[in-house]
Amino acid sequence: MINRRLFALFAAGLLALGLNAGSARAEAGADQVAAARDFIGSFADKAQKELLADDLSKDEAAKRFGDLLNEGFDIDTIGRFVLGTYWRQASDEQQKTYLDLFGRYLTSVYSSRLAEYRDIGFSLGDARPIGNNDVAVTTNVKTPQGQPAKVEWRVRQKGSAWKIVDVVVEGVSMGASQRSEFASVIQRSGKGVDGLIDALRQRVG
Amino acid sequence: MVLQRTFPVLLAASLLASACASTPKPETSATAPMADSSEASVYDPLEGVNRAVFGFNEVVDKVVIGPVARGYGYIPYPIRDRIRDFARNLASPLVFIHDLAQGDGDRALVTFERFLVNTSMGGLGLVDIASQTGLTYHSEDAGQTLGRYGVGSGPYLVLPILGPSNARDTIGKVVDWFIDPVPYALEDTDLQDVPFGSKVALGIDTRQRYDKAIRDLRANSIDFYAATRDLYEQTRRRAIANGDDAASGAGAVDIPDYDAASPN
Repeated sequence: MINRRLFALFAAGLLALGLNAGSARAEAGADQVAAARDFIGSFADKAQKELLADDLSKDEAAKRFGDLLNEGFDIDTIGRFVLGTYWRQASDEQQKTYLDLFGRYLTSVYSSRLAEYRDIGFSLGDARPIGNNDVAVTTNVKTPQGQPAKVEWRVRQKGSAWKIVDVVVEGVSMGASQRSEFASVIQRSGKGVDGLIDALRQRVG
Repeated sequence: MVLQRTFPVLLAASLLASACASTPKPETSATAPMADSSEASVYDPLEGVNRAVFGFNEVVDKVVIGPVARGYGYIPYPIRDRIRDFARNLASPLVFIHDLAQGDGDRALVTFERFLVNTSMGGLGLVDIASQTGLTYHSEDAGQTLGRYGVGSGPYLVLPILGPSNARDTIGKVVDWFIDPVPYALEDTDLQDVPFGSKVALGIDTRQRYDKAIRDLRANSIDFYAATRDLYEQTRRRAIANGDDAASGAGAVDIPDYDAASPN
């Protein structure tokens, strides 16, 4: 009797310890959450200042955009996530080629939308811990006639810097979307990761 | 009689609206907890047929629906907003039914109050003045209600004209056609064509509001079909969770820390 009860107590204690340790490790603390929120705020300010200058040439804008993308986003993590399990099937050479093309693809896609960012209103919302040590920072983005959209930036600490690893627009994860699309491209090409590399190369040259 | 006559058109219009609403950004969503380890997370056993229908829809959109929507875009917003508000108000009895069916008393009350306020003080729903008092609009449909009770999305489907859907949401469309009280109420009156007309207008209006986003996605995606499919499912998932990102799994996608991770 006593033995059994003791054992149960012991097990419960262990379980509680484990859970505690688990949650302590898995969540970003309040400091981190605040720091991540600050990062998004200042990054957005900087982006607006640099990209929305009136006398900016198109080439210069695209260049600045590429720099900002590299500075604020963890392109390697995003690219790898987006490739899903195909990452493991790719050779070192393919991984390298893919990441390079993916970065250029992102730059070309998003800089083509630059003109639309001009009239956008942006306000910083709250932030919360998410996943393993990441922070989700909520912003409200408003286009001139559109309804405001909730855009969530998922950021991660990399050394002393913060990097964006996903953007969630009205509940739609850009990373998950891209991953689903890339998987389809790979499957349909019949050429594995090379099929995707070819398609990306066609896009960005 | 009237219902029989208008059913195909009504179904088409409402599906169009939902297809548009779900294509690019705002308030729609997707399915079962996203299997984020599997690559093609959307179940699409009929992909061959779906792609063919999708191709057909693309042509229709480029030739007819897109141009019509862009033409509609020349109507000034103050007028278009009245049309949209009116159409949404007319759809709200059905939304109310689904709020109740989902056991969501708070949202049912909001929908009910909105209908009363907008129908009376808002001039038969032409002006959504309720939203100015914090009673904000939300939408529901039978697909969402089924999803709320745990019904999975089933196979992904692309419907002619109406666009992205799945087995559950298609059944939902049919159910909604039967249970929407408004067409019954106006049957055999001078206003019998109003519910259908307002749905068409809402569909066109929605298509126009997302025009930029649709064309952007079309131009920038490598596989537009796959991009649309994923967008639809994610959007529906979120709509079922009533915008709760945590519940819909939007924020729950696990992005590993590759630097810290073991080999691979």
